[in-house]
Amino acid sequence: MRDLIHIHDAEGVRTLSLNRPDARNALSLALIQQLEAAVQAVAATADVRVLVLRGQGKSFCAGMDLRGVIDDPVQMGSMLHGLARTSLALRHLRVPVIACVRGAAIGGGCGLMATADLAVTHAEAKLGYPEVDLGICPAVVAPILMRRVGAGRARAMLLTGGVVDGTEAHRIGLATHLAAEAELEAATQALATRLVSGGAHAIATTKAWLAELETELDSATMQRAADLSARIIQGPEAQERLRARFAQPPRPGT
Amino acid sequence: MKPGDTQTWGPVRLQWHDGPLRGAATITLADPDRRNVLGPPMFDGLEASILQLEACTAAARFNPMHEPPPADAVRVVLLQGAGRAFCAGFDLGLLAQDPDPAQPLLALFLKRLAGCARRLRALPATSVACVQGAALAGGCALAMACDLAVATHDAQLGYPVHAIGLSPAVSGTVLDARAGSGAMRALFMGGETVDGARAHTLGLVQGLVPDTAALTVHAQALACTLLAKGPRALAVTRRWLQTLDQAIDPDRVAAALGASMSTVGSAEGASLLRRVWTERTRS
Repeated sequence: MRDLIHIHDAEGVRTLSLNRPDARNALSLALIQQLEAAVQAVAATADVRVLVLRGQGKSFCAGMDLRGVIDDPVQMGSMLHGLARTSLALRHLRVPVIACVRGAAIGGGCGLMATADLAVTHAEAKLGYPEVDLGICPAVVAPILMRRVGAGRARAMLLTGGVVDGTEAHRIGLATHLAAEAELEAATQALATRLVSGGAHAIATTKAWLAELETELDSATMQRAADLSARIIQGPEAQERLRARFAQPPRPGT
Repeated sequence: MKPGDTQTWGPVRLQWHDGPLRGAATITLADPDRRNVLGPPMFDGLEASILQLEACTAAARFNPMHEPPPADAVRVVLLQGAGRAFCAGFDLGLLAQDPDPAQPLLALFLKRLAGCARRLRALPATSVACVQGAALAGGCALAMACDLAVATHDAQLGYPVHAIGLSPAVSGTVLDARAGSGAMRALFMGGETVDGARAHTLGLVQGLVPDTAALTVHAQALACTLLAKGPRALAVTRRWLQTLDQAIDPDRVAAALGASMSTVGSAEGASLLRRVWTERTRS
């Protein structure tokens, strides 16, 4: 099996790199399955103190890889449910999760960014949820984003679609840290090192308590979200818009 | 009504757009000399225009979770105030003259406000408030009831209603869903009013523009953006957000209205109201 998630350990920091740089790390079913397994492995490993999520290449993650699966509702459902389970698993890890977001985090990719406890990005990054532009409902990310930036801002982002830059994402709290693009990895490393030096038990307890306060982020809600999203993708509106998008040549450099 | 039509109920005008804004409608509160205050004629007009929109959005005929909105439905609603203010809140002059110490008129205003806010949210159309000048108390509650809001720098938002012995709790469910309990406490407990830039920082409004001319341009551009979305995806996303934020959950809405209603009809409230009104008319 191709290594779609690259795993690296150093001094208590485990780094998971989405490893499909030629596809801007788009979330295919195989990638989501490997990511879910890798996140579960973190939960079972005692010496990991901090988890860093990043993308190989120029982009963090271009979102769900819908090309090729729009005719396959079963596979699409598996992808959405897999992403919903992975998000919950990240939220319930006992170690803090940092997303190191370079270039772009779109749709499901921006969902991973919002799920991480901390997110470091740079001013030029393109971040957001253009799902409604494509006739898709960003249902899975909605409960996570609402908790992160507040329901009003989540409403504005999810209903108006499009993307925002790193500065705006930092202003509204989607990104917690902003660094120069050239210093993104160093800033992430510095943050990870600081977290490793914190009391592991205190951090784990705090994270568990924060998860407990997020009452609406339970697995029933996330399952419902994935079902809802899967149903809307299969409708004629999304099918028509997705086909029109896929008929266009890929945009270079985005 | 059909696209291109305009209908007027007293001080409220409803325009169903045609052309590039086809699919959008604008409600205008048009009593600019009185800063669009909420009294019986304004409530009558608002309720009539919302009722008309419930028909135009096909609210009763389709379920956004199961089917797309009809092609001719209104999918975006803009709410604006004519003149220098969005809406300065309840008509205090009328309330101060209410001879009954139980303040039945104030109780009625609160119920009608809660009804308008809930019905605006419940429409299967994305709503955008365009706020210039005052959006105070009931006016702020109307703006916050919309999904999105755009404001000018000189906008003034807030709930300075403790001065008349009233609790702003009625607006709490949408405000909590919008800006979180921290901002809600600042506005409700502190009673502070905030300008457009501060409202933008707090997350009360999502767009900030320099002046009224830019407000219209920005709001219409936003309407075009929303109209370009997948209509079904947008309707479902909006409904899902409502399920998650519980802002129009009937029990929570009833509890919020109940909290505000419990402050109506005290001797303290009636006398505060008369004092505020006397001071205002004297100055």
